[in-house]
Amino acid sequence: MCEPQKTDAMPLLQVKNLRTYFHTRNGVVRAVDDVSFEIEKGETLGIVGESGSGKSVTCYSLLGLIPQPPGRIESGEAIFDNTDLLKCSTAELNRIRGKRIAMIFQDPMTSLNPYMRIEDQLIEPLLIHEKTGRQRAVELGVQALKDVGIQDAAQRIRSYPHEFSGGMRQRVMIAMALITKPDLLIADEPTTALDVTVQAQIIELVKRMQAERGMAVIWISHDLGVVAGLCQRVNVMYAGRVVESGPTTSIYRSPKHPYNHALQKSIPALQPKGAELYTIAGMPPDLSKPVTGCAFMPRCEFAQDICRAPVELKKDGPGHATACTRAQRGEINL
Amino acid sequence: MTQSPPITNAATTTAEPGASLWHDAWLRLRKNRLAIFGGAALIVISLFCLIGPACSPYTYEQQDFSQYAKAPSTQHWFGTDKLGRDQMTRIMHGGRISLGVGICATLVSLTIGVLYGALAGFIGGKTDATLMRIVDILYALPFTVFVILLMVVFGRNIVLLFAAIGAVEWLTMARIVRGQILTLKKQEFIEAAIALGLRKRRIILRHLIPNALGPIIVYTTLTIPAVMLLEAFLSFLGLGVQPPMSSWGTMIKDGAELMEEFPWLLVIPAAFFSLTLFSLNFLGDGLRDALDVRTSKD
Amino acid sequence: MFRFIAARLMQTVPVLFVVATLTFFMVRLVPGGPFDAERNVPPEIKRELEAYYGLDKPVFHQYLDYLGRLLHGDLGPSYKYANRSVNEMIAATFPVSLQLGGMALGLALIFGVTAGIIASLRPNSALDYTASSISMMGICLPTFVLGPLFILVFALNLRWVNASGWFDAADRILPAATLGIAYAASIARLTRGGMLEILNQDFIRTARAKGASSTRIILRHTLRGGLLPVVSYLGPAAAGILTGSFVIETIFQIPGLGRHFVTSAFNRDFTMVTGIVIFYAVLIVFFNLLVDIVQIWLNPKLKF
Repeated sequence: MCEPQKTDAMPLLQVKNLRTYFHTRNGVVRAVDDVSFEIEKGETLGIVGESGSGKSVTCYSLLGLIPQPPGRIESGEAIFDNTDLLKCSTAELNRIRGKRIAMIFQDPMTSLNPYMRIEDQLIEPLLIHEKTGRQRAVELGVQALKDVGIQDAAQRIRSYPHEFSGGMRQRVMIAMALITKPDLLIADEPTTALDVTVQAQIIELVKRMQAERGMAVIWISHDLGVVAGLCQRVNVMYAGRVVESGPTTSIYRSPKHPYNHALQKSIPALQPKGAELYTIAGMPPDLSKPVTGCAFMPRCEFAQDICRAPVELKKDGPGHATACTRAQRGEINL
Repeated sequence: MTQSPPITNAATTTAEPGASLWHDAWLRLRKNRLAIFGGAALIVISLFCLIGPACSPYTYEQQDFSQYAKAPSTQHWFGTDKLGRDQMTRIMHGGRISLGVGICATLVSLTIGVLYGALAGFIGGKTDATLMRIVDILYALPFTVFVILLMVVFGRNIVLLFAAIGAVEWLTMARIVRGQILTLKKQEFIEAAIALGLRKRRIILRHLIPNALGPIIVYTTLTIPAVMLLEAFLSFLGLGVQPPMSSWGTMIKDGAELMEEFPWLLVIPAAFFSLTLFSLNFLGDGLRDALDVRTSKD
Repeated sequence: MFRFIAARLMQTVPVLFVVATLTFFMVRLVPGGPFDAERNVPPEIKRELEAYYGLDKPVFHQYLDYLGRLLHGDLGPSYKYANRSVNEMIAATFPVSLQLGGMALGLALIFGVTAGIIASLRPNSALDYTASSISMMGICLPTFVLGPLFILVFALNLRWVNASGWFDAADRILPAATLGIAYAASIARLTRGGMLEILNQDFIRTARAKGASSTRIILRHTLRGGLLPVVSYLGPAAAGILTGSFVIETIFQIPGLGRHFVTSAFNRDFTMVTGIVIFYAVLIVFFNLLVDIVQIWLNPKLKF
């Protein structure tokens, strides 16, 4: 990397007490409520949770992509290479986004500009951040397309997005995100909108690019299977909070939080054949109503009165932390 | 690869009672101050024009040369014109004509547009394509010019005037109605109704018409000002309403000729006319937002 | 591209044929001949006149003659001014109208697009509301109200410009502004709506994630799609400006085709009126073709 390494002790990105609220007509929606995590250089972190658990909003907050208003970052810091991303001006952020932190999105059909040639979109980060000459940028763009496995890159770079299939577009998105060789790639459910076979190709592609370039990846997904195959560490989010965090193996093998436990149980492929499908009873809480204590409590089979008290994510093993009062007390064994 | 866990979906759709669409729309409309202002102003102006003449001590053709072109006063609130006629009474009568032409011509355009659009939408296929191609072609033509031609050829007759205007302004309505019918035809509840074996007439009466009504109301509201504008435009050129009848358009024309000496003869009818257009447009826009109607070109 | 234009040109042929036929027979439906209204014409002169204009032949014959001449671009002689042809009148007056309309459309585009973009950058701000209210006023104050009011204020009271005429550059300002203002207002509304629609798209978020500046996002990512509604509005706008010129040229006494058309309508100069109608139809049809080409050029999803 071009930047000198400051201290080895510092993680690549350290997020502390992030709170992002949406001030809507129906009240304040606490989309992200006191989230802290960190990611090391070259590491792959998965963030899992159901729709509305705040996993995407967390990452959008980091890059200043929350629509403001109604969104507002209420508190927290996100230290990336000695810079607090949350305190950056737009101009300062613009020097980081697309250059050192890149992002790919859920829906490749809508994430590319239909009015611009692939070429112009693909090389834009080079033009913005590296002041590359246009001709050289196009050469790099063609190479980038080849790297993500697009045939006839030199011709196809002149196409418009609608001439590409969904999987191809996601490849273009990846090529575009990686063209400046970023330190961190944030992938917001990049395979959700794709066919299963294409999903696997995209995951393999990201894995390969990561191995070649040594960048860190934050992979957001609601698909536990995808995350298991890709990430070293996993954060499980529920109702805007991280409820369990740890190495992938312990998250999957020995869940401590009842929500995570329930999630694992509801993966049909991991259950014995013929067993009745497990579903979590009830519904996620309305985030516009303040929740004291554990947000999962109304749906939790282990809930007791003590769960109404505020609960924090606490370390309970090597690299593992859980936000469940009863688990922290050792009262439940899953 | 493993499958994702069945994640509970917060959005449950509850069946809404039939009246609630309109009720919701009304609640939304009520919050739109400009639209409510527009509606209120329209009611006031209409009452003024309808009831006003009965309360006025003057008639619109009564000339009084001792009152030659007087500025507004306690006697004549809006002044008098150069024939000594009371301008307020003339504005009331002019308003009747302007609003009347607006409404009648809009009804003509509504009838043609709804029938044409519904026909195209229902039959579909090649007929639809041909009918809509005709609309596209007609869209491309300078229609006001044809109205002028009609007025020249057939003489300046008020019935013909709104027939001509109505015959010209139906294109958008036809497109909207057709678009509505097409989207509705594809929707599940219509398919369900067909699957349930409901009769065609019943489907049309109970399902299609109530659902297409919103956009029709919105565009009717927005057609009235367009039509009034066209009428005033023709009258201003001297091709619309003919004396002794007068609409706001002819009053603006007469006022414009004398504006240097007697500006109130221009300003007052112009103000009434513009206020009415404002109100109708604001009300129409408000209704469109409240009923959540979007223009679609196909 | 060429095939598209050729196909569209082919489509205009039936349109123009219908227009020509419609206007021809509409005029023939008038009770009595065009010279009946003039009482002082002795019968033999009337007969001569009718022979000169070919009115003594059967209607269908006249129609074929008319179409034949149309094919050569000849719109025929004027009934009113026997020694002048419709073509000559159009050639003499249309440049003035073209200049007026072009200026009005230019002004409308410059002011409308600028105002619309500014309003879209801060939706629901005070600036946005101000711009929207002014546009609504522009839409609701028709030219025949604005024109006289502008003359009253700027020409008669402030004496900045002349009330009428078409001699020097200053004479162009007021008519062009009056004619363009309503379209500037509509264009501003369309631009605002189009820009907002695009700005809310996912790909704008992608652009921001790439570190593109706001200026870059507006100019490179939003404008092309955001202006599509404006482009499709240009067809109707041109037709509107054309008819608007009737009023403007009458109010400001500009010797253009619009005023000439209205005068001819009053004089019941039928050949002149039909000729101008056909000319206008051709004009609009070609302008719409132009608009379509621009639209396709702007929107890569539309194919030739």
